[in-house]
Amino acid sequence: MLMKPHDPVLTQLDQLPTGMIATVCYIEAQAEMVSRMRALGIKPGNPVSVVRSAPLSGPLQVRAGQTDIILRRAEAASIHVNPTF
Amino acid sequence: MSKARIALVGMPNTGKSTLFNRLSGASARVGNWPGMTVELQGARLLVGARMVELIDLPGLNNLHGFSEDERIARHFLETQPINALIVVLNATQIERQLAFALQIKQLGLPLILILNMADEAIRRKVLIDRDALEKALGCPVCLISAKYGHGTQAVLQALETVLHKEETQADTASRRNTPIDVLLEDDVIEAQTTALLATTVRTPQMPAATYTDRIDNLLLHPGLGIIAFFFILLGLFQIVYSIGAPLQEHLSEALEAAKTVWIAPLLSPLPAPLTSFLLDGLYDGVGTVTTFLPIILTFYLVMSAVEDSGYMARAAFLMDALMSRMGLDGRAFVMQIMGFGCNVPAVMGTRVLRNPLQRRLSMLIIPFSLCSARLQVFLFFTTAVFSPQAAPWVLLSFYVLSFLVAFLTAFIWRGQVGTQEPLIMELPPYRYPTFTYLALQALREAGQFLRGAGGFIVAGVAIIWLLTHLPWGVTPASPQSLAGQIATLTAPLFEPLGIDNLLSIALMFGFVAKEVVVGALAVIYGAGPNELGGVVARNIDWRQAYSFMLFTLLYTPCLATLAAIRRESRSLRFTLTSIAWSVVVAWLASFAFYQIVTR
Ligand SMILES: Nc1nc2c(ncn2[C@@H]2O[C@H](COP(=O)(O)OP(=O)(O)OP(=O)(O)O)[C@@H](O)[C@H]2O)c(=O)[nH]1
Ligand SMILES: [Mg+2]
Repeated sequence: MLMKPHDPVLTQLDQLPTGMIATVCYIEAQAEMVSRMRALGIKPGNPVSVVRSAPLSGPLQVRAGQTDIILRRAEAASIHVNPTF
Repeated sequence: MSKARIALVGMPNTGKSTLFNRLSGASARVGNWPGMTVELQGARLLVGARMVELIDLPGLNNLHGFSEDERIARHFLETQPINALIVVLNATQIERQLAFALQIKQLGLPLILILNMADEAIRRKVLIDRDALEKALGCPVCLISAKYGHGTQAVLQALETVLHKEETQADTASRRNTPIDVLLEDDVIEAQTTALLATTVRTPQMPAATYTDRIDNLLLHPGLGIIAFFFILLGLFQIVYSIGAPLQEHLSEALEAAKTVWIAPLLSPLPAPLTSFLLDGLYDGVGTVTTFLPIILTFYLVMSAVEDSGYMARAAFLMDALMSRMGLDGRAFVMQIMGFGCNVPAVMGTRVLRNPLQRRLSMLIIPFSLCSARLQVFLFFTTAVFSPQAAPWVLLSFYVLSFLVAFLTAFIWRGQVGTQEPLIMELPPYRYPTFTYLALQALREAGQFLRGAGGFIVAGVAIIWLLTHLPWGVTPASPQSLAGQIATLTAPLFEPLGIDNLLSIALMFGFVAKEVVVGALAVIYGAGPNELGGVVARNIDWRQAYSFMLFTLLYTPCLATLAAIRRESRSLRFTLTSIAWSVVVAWLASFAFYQIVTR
């Protein structure tokens, strides 16, 4: 399938460059995890960004709305996002 | 009028316990750390003319939570008769938390909605139309700052109104005890929340940079963050040392003076054994322990300031990478730091972990956390035996060792955990600790310390006096005394560690509670609060002292911690494993140390 240059490019949250804002598209995780993420403000349609990542492949500091969240990279990888330019 | 029961519910770290304290005058533990409260706490207060039992619950992430603390809150909501609920939200985060309030509303109980932390909401430019929200929800809505006491009066009024209404409505029983599982987190709630938010709340698109962001640029910096961590730790002990140590000295001088000037003359008419028991046993023993109270108080003051600042969550963030390689996560590291105060709440704090095996591993390492009772022993020995220049570094070495042994233990046992649970938690903004609250908290913790250990201390020094002075007539604490005879039996175990007969008696009592150790030494050496240091320094060298402290650091912390481990793990076998592990590690470490330095 051909992609037009301005098509949205999905990526995973752990791949999102620091400081870039993206919109959550879908989350590929077990129901319990999805509901915990939702409770913290990570859910489809909401904006997220990565504030910083801890050294030695430690967790990420993720900002979702007014809430900052500590999230490990493995879990971040289950969050598919759409970067906004 | 019947008694009413009202529970505080809300997501973690929204200020439930702060409001609980405000309303009832109680002193529940507060901290800028999600999962501070892990058990139910109740208090009574009068609302209008009605007696109300207010219950503070652990925070709930949502109504489908499965960690132990959430289970406790959920179980309470499902099984206990409740007259009304106070739902506490963080106003700044109303966008994500309002859905929780709507879920709770489904329980059908009379409700008061609290939007707490109004001060932060204003600063972050989150605008809330309280009246519209109240109308839409059909329950009282209060915008307050529990920490500063703004708006708590309105909460009390709302409570009175709600209780009055609840009482006049005939049948409320049918609305109680709805099983929470039937209330699914459905799309209807989602849609309702979105619609409600659209008309009542305005939040800025992307939050502006706050002072929290600026501080974190340094404290969470990949390289500098770790260095900052050590400086913070060092700073804390510097504060405790420089404030607490002089106070301790003055107190011990005062107690010594009181003994010679007033108490000894007063007791002189009594028969010799009784005088000795009261003076050399109780007074010296309990007095010596008491002299450490100012240090303990300062220590708790500093610890609560750290807990309330929000730094704990940063420590979890920084240390998670390291901890994950040992089968644990950043929260287990925070429990190690909380254990600096007392190991018992740290053991209970593991309730936030969902994976029971990960919880156990965390409980296995917490006893190595250098609690304030052991700090007392170390302060005593380091000041008595080491030079003033060396003493703080010796003390620091024990904190480092405490972490090293904990990490090593986790590393060795990490295979037991299996798959780790995911780490996902809120990183709250920094918050100013308020001094009055800190002072209260420190007094409360020190009070608990006294009440918890007080009985043990008195009983401990009394028994030691008996053991060292019986049979009557022997030289106290000589090999002929009961204590001496016991020590001779255990000598083969302790001699290779450089721990001589008299010291090993103190260690045996330390098994019950480390607070007894210094008091025990006072009785064993027959020295008062102000002389003990000198007597000990004359009797043992630095190698023996270090070996003794090493053993004290590593062997079983106290009975209270063991009881907590037993309760939380619900396993006798695990508890025994934990005891055996720490005793063996303690013996091996002291043995290795003493044999190497005396070569
Ligand atoms: N700025 C501000 N901070 C507050 C307010 N109320 C509480 N806090 C702070 O928020 C943090 C959390 O307070 P707690 O009362 O422990 O929260 P909790 O809901 O009991 O938390 P858990 O027991 O972990 O569920 C503490 O650092 C409080 O000092 C407020 O009105 N304004
Ligand atoms: Mg609480």
